Amino acid sequence: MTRIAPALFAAAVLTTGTALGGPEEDRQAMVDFYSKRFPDVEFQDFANGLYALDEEARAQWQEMEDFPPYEIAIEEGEEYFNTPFANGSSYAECFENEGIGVRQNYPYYDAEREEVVTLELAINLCREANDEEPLPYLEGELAAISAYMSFTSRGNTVGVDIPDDQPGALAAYESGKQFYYSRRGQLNFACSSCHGQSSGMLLRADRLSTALGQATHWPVYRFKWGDIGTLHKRFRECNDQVFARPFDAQSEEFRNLEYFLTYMSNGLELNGPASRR
Amino acid sequence: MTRSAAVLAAIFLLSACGEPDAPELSANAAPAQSGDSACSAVDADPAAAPASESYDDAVAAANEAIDRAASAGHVWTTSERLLAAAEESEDGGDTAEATRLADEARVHADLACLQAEREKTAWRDNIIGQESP
Repeated sequence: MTRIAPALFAAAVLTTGTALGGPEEDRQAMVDFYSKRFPDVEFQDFANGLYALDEEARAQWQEMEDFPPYEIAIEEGEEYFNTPFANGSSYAECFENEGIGVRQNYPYYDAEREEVVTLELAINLCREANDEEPLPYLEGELAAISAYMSFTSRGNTVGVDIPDDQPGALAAYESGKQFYYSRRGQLNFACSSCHGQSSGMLLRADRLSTALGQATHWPVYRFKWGDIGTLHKRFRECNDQVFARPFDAQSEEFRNLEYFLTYMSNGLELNGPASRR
Repeated sequence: MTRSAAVLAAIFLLSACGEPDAPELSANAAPAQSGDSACSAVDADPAAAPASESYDDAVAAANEAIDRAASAGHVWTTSERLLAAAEESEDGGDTAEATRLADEARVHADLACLQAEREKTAWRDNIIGQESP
């Protein structure tokens, strides 16, 4: 995509979009949809994913929260976060408020970089700015740092912004939205195939979560992984499960997808890291 | 074309949402990705193409098709696995099977391209909140 294309596209949206609705209308329509589909679920509880929809699974999950499997990742992440770089600087110097309680500000559209910046990307940008090698994005040390930063942000309200004066931001949102709803892979599934029309239904032994709340609780300790992993690891896994070649973690496609998905969870409280089956 | 490829094509076509009313691409759509016009030239029935005359031709066609699908962001991992299986068969001395598998890989890749073309507009049919819960 050239630099001109996002601006022209966004200009077209802004001049004609009011009749078609925009991000906030999309979000409200989604909230209304799930409120009607699950009338007994309180708004904030959607952040708990399938545990908001399945009482038996919720009971098991609540028992696990006494000794959460992601605790080790939080401890390790805190240690990584507080270990100075070789040049003497630290992660704290890269982030607002020294990186404490900031997850609700991610992802955001960086007008200078002309791209969406996720927390995980920001962690590696910090490393590169301090002459450190970037970390792999799916799991391991970066996921642990993300877990720690998420933990310090618990209870903060998701507040992704799509600035009116940054046309590229709306273009990125729309790109992520199109990705979410586009069928892909040999199984011809869109993300919404499971998490929209089929949310609350069983897929094998698991109840399908709603799109609303999907982005609040990352990174996640999945028992299937036996480890903590990032949202983009799950994106890749989902794509692979429908036999679609996954994009790279932190690719433009996945960052735009995260931008859209997180905006849909605006107003929900962050509750990561979390555990899932 | 093999029966399995024809069945696959039928499953793919039937599993899609009903054909949209082909609205004009609205301003609310994401901008077209670079290179996806390559998929617009793919035949509507990839399984109907004649079998390749040689293994090399089949592999070349499959790789070209996978690259086309990749340019549209819609590669199926099945096309990659079929191509890998074709190479294994060839290494094992079964050129006929290898050629058949490579041709199937091409079919899968072309179906992925057709999917990419359809989803340029069809994705709007899936928007949450536009349908009844």
